[in-house]
Amino acid sequence: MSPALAEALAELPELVRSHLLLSGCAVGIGVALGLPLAILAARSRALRTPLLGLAGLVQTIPALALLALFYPALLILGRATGLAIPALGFLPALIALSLYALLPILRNGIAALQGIDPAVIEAADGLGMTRRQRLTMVELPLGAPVILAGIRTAAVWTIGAATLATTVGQASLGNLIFSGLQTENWVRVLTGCAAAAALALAVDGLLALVEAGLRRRSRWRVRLGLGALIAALVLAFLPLPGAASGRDVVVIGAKNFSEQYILASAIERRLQAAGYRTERRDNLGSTVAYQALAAGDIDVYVDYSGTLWTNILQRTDTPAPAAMLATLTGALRRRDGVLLLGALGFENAYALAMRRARAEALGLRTLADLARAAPRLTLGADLEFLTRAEWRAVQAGYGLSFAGQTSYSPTFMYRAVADGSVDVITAFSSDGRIAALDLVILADPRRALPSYDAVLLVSPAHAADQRLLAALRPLVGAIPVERMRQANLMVDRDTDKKTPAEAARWLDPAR
Amino acid sequence: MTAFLDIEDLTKRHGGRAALDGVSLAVQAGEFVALVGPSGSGKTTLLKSINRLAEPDDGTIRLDGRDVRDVPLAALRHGIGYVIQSIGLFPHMNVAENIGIVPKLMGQGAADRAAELLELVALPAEMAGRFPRELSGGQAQRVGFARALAAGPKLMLMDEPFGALDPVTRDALGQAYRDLHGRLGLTTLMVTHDVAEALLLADRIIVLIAGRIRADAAPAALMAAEDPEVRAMIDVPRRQAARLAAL
Repeated sequence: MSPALAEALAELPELVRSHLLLSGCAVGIGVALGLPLAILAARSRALRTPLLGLAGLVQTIPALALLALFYPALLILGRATGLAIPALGFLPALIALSLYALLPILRNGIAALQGIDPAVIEAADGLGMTRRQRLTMVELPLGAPVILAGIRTAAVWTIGAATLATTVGQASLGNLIFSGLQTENWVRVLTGCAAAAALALAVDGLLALVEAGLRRRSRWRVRLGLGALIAALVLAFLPLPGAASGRDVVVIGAKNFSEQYILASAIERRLQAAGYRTERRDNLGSTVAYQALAAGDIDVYVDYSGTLWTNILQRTDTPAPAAMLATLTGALRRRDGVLLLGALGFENAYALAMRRARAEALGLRTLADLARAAPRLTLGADLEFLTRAEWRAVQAGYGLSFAGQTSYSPTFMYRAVADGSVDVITAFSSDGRIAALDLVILADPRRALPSYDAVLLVSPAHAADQRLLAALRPLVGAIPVERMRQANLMVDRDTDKKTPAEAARWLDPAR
Repeated sequence: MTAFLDIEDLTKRHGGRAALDGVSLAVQAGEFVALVGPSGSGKTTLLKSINRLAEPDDGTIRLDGRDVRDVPLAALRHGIGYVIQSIGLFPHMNVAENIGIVPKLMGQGAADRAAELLELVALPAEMAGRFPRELSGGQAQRVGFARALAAGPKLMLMDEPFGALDPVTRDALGQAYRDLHGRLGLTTLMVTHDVAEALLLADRIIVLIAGRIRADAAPAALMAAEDPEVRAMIDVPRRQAARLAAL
């Protein structure tokens, strides 16, 4: 078995557990909320129209955006109420998915109750059933197949959408899919997709069994279907044997690219060697990661000085690297209690890169040269570069203006420059693909781009934890850019691919 | 002596139009009363006011001496048999469960009277396990009657009970019910738009036109009615009978 598959399969049980727990709870809340609302709405037009409209509106928001929106919303709520509301992880994912599950349950519930033969309702009333008796003895049993069909739709949607919970720091099968996409590790992507699909099919099959049981008045079908679903949920609630739990766990964050996974693995190895139990929150958005650290949702992660400088301190100047680090260290500690433990020794700066042959043919060496040729060239950027201050600084510093600009996720951005879809990309200086694809980085003589030293950040809660700091300190200044590039390339290349964990062992072999 | 069913000055308005316009009526125990009249004459509203499926705007209804508004709704309806044209059997319950529903609602024990009630409506006992979708129209309405009779009501309210049946079934079931009415000592109010059916089954016929009682008489007496609109209604079956006889 390939190491990538073995690693993905090793992560699978815990991810399936989290995935099932999250989607099970979300559908449960969807039913608990949606069914009573459907009963009320079926009787009242005044309630029905706005309710269906609202649920439909939620459905039009892309699931990814809906999940992301609950992070700031819960953060604000937590600050406003002074309560310790976790803004990252299970809660935002649960709320978003429950809202998503609501529409099919609501819509089918209303249709089920309204679709019942009026003669049957008149008979029920005429025979002297109370409203409750009519509901439980006639309307719900007759509407059950349609109601259940709605629950089935909701369950399949939710299990699919739950893969996106990874982006707000909740473990799910999306962990495999997102990290696999970033490192072009298709074994991981396929494992995650197959597991999510299998889970959805299994749940749908069990619900279909319950539905058939209700329709055919077959008790064993209903009992078997419900029993299996409940058993699966109960199992999901129990932690796996040997899994980390409790207060003593250090949570390591990572953003959504290979270098971050490798460094998070290296940190994890160091902490485990020092006797800590660890958990991972991978694929965090760039600003989400820092907010999560400041709020204590994660404990350690690696960020980059230039990112913190512009995004967190909102600065637009570009001081020398040492001065920037000193200012950051003081400001983050004072403002958020976050400890900047030190720089790892390499930079992952934004740099504009081109294929060597193309750059030489056009005679381009610096950004000043590029500015002259840019009106005939196209730029491929990562998803955030074009909205960042650096881009404005480069535009202002060199008068850059391209014939066209396209945003890609990092993996596809490198593909685009390799196959000539774009001429220039916003590469990262530590990226292994610079060497692998024979790209050249255009020099920045006017220092428009700030430095991006990789720095280790520690949450306020652990800022004075000497044992933890001692375990991490050997990483400070220990990773030169060539080594980081090599480690990144091991993960990103197409042949002889390594997993981030393997690359981390190569990068930091000491234990 | 007060009547078994005493309706006084019943009024119901739909928008500006009166569906019932001051209807007063007394029905003695054991009577079989047919309510006839054109569509929209208020006969169904009158029937449904008695078991309070319709709420009149004015007037009182006393059943066995008690104002129906003073009786708890469920108890009132448990004590009145109700049969409708569209039957309304519960499709997810078998025949026995359909028949047993009112005793069950009343919290009566599980004494299974399905066989006895099926016999009463001339259905074989093995029907008990069947589902409504497996029954013919006539069988289904017989079950509808059995369900209405299960809790031993004294009053039966029937809204076009034979309306959806083919003529042969209709005639057979009509006669069968007429026998039950006598045998069980029931009081029956039956809405129908079929004047011949009313003339042949009922002891007393009430003609409602535009929310008012225009005639109230035994069948034989009604044949001699002077009111031109009432006459027009009765003339239809009479002419048909004459034409049939002349064939």
